[in-house]
Amino acid sequence: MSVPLLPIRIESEWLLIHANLIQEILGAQPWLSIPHTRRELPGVVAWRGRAIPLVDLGAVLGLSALASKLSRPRTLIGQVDGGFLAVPVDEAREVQIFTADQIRVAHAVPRPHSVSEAEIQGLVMPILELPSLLASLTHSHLVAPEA
Amino acid sequence: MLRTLTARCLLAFLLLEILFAPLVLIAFEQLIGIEGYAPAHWLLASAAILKALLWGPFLAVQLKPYERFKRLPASARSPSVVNQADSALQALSYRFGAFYAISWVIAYAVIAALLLILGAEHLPNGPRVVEAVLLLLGGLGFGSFAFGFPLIGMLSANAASECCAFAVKHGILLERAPKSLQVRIGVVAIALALGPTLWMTALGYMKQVQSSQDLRTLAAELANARLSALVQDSLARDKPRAALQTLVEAASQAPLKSFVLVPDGTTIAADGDAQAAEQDHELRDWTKAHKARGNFLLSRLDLARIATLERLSTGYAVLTVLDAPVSVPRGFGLSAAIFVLVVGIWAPVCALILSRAISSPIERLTRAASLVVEEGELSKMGALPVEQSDEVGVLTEKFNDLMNLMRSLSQAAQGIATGDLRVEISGTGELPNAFRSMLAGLRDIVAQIGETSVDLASAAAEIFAASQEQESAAASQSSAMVEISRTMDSLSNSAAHVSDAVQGVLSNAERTLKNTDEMVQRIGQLSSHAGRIGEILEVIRDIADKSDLLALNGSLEASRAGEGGRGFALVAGEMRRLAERVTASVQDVKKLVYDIRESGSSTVMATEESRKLAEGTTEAARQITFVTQQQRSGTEQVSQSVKNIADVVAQAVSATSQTRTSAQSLKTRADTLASIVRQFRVNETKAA
Repeated sequence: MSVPLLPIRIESEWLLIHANLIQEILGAQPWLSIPHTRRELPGVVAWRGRAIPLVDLGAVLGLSALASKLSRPRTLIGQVDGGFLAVPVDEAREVQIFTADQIRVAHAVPRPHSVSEAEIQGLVMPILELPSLLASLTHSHLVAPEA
Repeated sequence: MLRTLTARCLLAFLLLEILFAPLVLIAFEQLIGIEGYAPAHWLLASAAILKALLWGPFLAVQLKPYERFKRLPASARSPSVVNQADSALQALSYRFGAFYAISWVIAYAVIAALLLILGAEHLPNGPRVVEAVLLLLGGLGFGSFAFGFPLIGMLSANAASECCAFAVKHGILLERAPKSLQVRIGVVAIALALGPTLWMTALGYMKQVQSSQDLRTLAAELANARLSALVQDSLARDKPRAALQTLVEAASQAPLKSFVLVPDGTTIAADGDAQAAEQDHELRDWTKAHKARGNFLLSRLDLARIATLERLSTGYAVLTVLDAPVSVPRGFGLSAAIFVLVVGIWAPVCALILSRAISSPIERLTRAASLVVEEGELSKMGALPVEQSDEVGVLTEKFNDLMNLMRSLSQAAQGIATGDLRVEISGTGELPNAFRSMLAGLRDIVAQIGETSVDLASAAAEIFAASQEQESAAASQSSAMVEISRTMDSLSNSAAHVSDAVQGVLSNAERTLKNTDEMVQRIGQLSSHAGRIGEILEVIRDIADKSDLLALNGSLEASRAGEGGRGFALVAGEMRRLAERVTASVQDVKKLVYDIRESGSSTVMATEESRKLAEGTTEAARQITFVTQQQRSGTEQVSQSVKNIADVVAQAVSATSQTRTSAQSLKTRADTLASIVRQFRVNETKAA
């Protein structure tokens, strides 16, 4: 069984995202800030005539959050549970195909919403579980927005 | 109105006319016997007023030059104006005196003529008054001249003095003809003597005429009374008419003619007398008018006969006619003529004697004054004799005092002239005081000149020594000036060389500036091209970015395609890497372009600095050129000035030499002056 993973970089941090969740990779996209929202979901992005939530992985990973009206060079359009979301990243590489044995349980550096990891050219990258992330963000968002 | 001399003179004469004219009028009326004739008063008053009215125009004409002199400001009074005014004033006494006398004579002559022509019947003295009036006119003429001549002279004396003072003050020579005081006194004396003499002669003449008239009247009345008594007696005795005829013929002895007027209208008269009486219409009419009314007398100076009529109680009347005109004794005319002649001769002789008595001392004073003023013979002139103690005598005494004073002052001046300043000046007054002040001043001046001459000799010696030193210093200075002049010429040549060199620097700096400007322009073009390359690189980068995205999305699509998309995934990966390399290369090129632009900017800035330096060099070169030219010009001017100074110093050397010579001469003259001053004899105490 092969697993396609998309390497992305947030600042100096390399991550892997399941490529089958990504619908499209765009350049830097403008986004609209929404007040009184969590810092991981700071606003929305216009995509194909609709507004989709913006997920700031920098805030999620404890790195620097997006500043207002600034974006990252690449914007990933993902689809989770029938919903779309936009994930700005600093860099993306071509999809890498991994076998099951190449994916192992995360042990190097624990990352939130990451339970496994893979190695590309000697660099171990955690695999971000986007549905888990979105679920936690959506649930938390409904319970208590960030003060 | 009285500001003019004409008005003052006229007013004076009119006032005196008011005083004297009534007296003269009364005397004239008394003389010719018309004091009761009213028209005569008006004629005389009118003539007096007309006569006075003529004086004003005459005075105005005569004094016109003087009034013009008075009206003009002092600055506008020319010598001719002053001379005309003075001539008018000098001639005024004679001219107005004569006019004044003539006006009197003509006025009374006209009045007398009018009275004789128009009112002869009112002149009781008849034709005889003509001679009296002629004499009276002569008296009036001389008398009025004797009055008017000195009076007008007195009134115009101040004006003549004013003219003379103005002429003396302004150096104007008055053209006055010399006049004799004796002649003036003689003329006045003749007029004074003949005026009253002729008046009194006229009065005496009229008294003689009146006496003759009285005698005629008395003789006629006496004869008529005697005949009346005889006729009355004859009528009382009832004598016949023949007796009356005898009485009448006896009484009618020439120059008497007697008549008896009978009540029946006939007249008893001597033979021939009745016809003569009948032809005398005036006598006939007068007899008819008066024979019935008592005693009457027909007696007038202008009638050749006198008639007296006495009416008797019997109705008869006796008429006696004395046919003898008024006569003045021949002795009176002769004695009057002799008297007038004697007075006419005596008066000028007396006047001559009197005027000579007055003028002789004055002439002596005049000669003495002329001797002093014109010839300056003060020492030869002795004291003038004082004949009387009157004003002339006092004047002579004062003149002698003045001459004594002048003599003492002259002696003092001679002493001063010989250098004797020890003389003493006596006397009081401005002149002795002035002499004393002058003498004191001379003493001070001599003392000061003496001191000054000594100082001058000392100063001249010092000047001589200083001149010698100055001459040698000036010679050294002159040679130094020549050396400085040469140095300045050398400086001027150096400045010319510097100017040429700086001109070359300026040319190079200007070329550098031009090249720098071209370099800046080229670098600007290079920067512009680099900017264009940057734009192209941005397009390439954008294309690479889009290729990267396409490759990523292709990779996604290949992963979705599974095994079938593996080859496409490889292509997409290669394509992404290619895009990545392109992007990296673009970044490198952009960096290079940036470096080029940065280098260009640095070059531009460096070039700008270089340009500023070139501009500064150019400006400095220009300033150096300008300063060098100024230096060259200044050096040339200084060189010229030094040459001029050298000339001046050379002249100063010459002048100093002359000064030395002059100082030597000055010392000699100062010594001479000191010896001259020592010749003055001054009291030691006063000199000290």
